[in-house]
Formats: sequence, structure tokens, C-alpha cells
Amino acid sequence: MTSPKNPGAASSKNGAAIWIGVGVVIVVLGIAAIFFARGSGSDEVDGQTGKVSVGDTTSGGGEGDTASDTAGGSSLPQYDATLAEDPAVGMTIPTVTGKDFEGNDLTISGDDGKAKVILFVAHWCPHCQKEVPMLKEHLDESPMPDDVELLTVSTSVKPGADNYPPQEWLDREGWAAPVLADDEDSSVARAYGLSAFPYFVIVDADGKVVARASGELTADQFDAAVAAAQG
Amino acid sequence: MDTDVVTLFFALLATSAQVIVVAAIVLWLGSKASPSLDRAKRSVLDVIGPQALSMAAVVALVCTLGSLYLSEVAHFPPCELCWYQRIAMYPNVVVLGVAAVRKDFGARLTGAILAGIGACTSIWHLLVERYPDLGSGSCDPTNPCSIKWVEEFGYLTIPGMALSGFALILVLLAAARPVSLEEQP
Repeated sequence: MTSPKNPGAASSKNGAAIWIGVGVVIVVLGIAAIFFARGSGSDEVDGQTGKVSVGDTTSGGGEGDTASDTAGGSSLPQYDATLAEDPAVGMTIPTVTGKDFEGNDLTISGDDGKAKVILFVAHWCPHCQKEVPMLKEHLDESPMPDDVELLTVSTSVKPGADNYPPQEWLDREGWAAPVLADDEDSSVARAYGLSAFPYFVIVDADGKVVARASGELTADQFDAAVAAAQG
Repeated sequence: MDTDVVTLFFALLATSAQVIVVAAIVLWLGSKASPSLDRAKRSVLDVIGPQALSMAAVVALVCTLGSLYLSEVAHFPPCELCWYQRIAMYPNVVVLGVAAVRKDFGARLTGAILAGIGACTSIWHLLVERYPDLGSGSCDPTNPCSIKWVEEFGYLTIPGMALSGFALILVLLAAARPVSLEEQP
């Protein structure tokens, strides 16, 4: 191996060539990105969030008030799984009115005389992505009893995130329960004290909270929640 | 500029980094067994070595700018693990940048430690993304680490891109040397 006559010049020449090469590669990758980027996947799809009203059935707060207007009295306290006793138990759920993904009116209220399990999901949440098909399979085998209603709230919608839009996701999973589309501020989720996904609010026929839970439930735990709603 | 174009550009850069890292590892392992690969390794080091410190600084700068673009322009809020990776990446712009200008090859160790910590965090973040139960049994509604803001080519998410950057910095720091082997007396 022979030494170059002018080592500094050789090194400088090599260095310049390397940097030119790096620059060319970056430009080529940039051009490739412009040509091959698929259509914007982050554009919002209409109907994935909607206008909702949150009111308090016990105080006659009425529909039409926004969540921010009525936050406080009608809202459930934020769920804290570490507490031995949930302060929301025994409280009447706030009445919320909005629309499903098809634009049909949908109301969740404690004064309709029906016990209910309300499931809050976020399309990007991997735990929700596991829970929904598990519950779907379970409900196919053992449907909800007639006296308990299963309702879903799609909330915390993030157009740029994984698994968007939620409507497509839930349709793909064959999710049959009614779905209320929460607004961009997640007003319904906040009114119900959501602190983590997936989130369950179990309500008796009088509209009172029986229990709340967050995180994935097993089929047996879900059955227990349904039984608790029945009283 | 459209976010999809920019994230695809970052993904292409990250993929290029992965190719370089894999090639470097293959070359390094192969050089142990094959004299011809050993000669090839020496030739590559001769050419790349003197520039590697500057290249590592540029990689750190590109990763930093990319991370700032994703949070400040694309509005993908960084989660807790993202912040730890930022803490490992951002200082490397200064550490390696100053070292490159001053030709202070002694700073390689500091840069490598930062990049190593960042790479380990990225690996953990990738695991949390793939196996959310590792993090917790539920999703933080505000900003969970398991959320995938970007997924290119079916596998490349933001921590995957970060890991590619950290790995490339480590490879470049391993290759960095003051003068080429041929020019050493």
C-alpha cells in the first residue's frame, strides 16, 4: 500500500466527494417523497366528531347547553381507579345528545328507564382495538340482555393518528352497538369523567352510576358489569 | 409542505440509515472472517473515517429538526418516551457539532453514550407500541406512548425513525478517526 504524495489534498478530495454524494442522496429521497407520498391521510373525514349537548337531568339543565357551560354539577368526577370507593357511584349520569356516524340523533340519558353499559373508545388506542373485537365476539355468543343497553361513545378523535377514521374501524369490526360521536373537545368523555381508554360506565335503570372501570375488561368482567347494571 | 410528503421523506432517510447500519455491521462481522472484507472495511474507513464525526453531527441535526417538525408543524405531541429520546438526541447536535468543528475526536464517547441511551429508549418505545400491555393496561387519553402518529412501509413509526438515527450516529462514531488509515504514518 503506497502513501499518497499529498495526504491532505487526497483526504479533502474524498471528503468533498462524500458530502456531494450525501447531498445527492438526500435530494433524490426528497424528490421520491414528493412523487410517492400517498394522498393526505390526515385530512379529516366528516362526521367522525359531532356537536354534542351535555345537560343534567336532575337539575333540569336541559339539552342545548354545551359541556363547558354545564361542566361541574352534571359532570361525573374524573375516574380514579386507585380510589377504594368511586365518588361517582350513585350519581345520575349527565344527559348527552349528539349524533351517530350516520348523522342520526342519539341521546344517552338516565331517565329512559333502561340500565346501560356505556363504552368509551378511541380509534388510536391499542387497548380499545383489542377490546372491541373481543367484546364483539363475546356478544355474538352471548348477546346483551333485553333490559340492559350497550352504548358506545367514540371520542378523542385524532385525524392524524393510527386507525383513523373511527367509523371505518368500528364498521370493520362489525360493531353493532349505537355509537355517539363525541365532539372535538371530547365533551362527553369529560362529562363522564374519563381518565383512560377503554372506559366503562355502568348505569342502573334509574340512571345512577353503579360502577366505572378503565382498561381492558375480560368477557367475564364485562358480564359482571352487565349484571351490576341489572341490579 | 404536506405532512405526508415530509414524513415519507423522513421514513426514506431512516430506511437509508438502516441500510447503512446493517451494511456496516455485516462488513464489520465479515472482516473478522474474510481478508477481502477486511480490506474492504479498511477502504471504507479510509474514506469515511475523517468525515464521520461531521456526518454524525449532521445526522443528529436532521433528527432534531425532524422531531421539531413533527411536534411543532405537524402537531404530533411528543409523549413521555419521545421526550427521553429528544433529551438524548438534541444535545448531540451541540456535542458532535462542536467536536466536528474542533476535530475533537475525544467527544465520540460522550456522543456515543447519549446515542446509546437514546437507542435503548427507542427500542423500549417500539416495544410499547407493539405490545401496549408493557406500558399499562389502558391508554392515557391525553398522550399515550402507544399511539402511532406515523407508520410508513407498514413498520416504520417515529421511534423506529429515531432508533435509525441513533444507530447511524453510533456507527459513524465507531468509524470516526482523525486521518485515513492510509495517511497514518
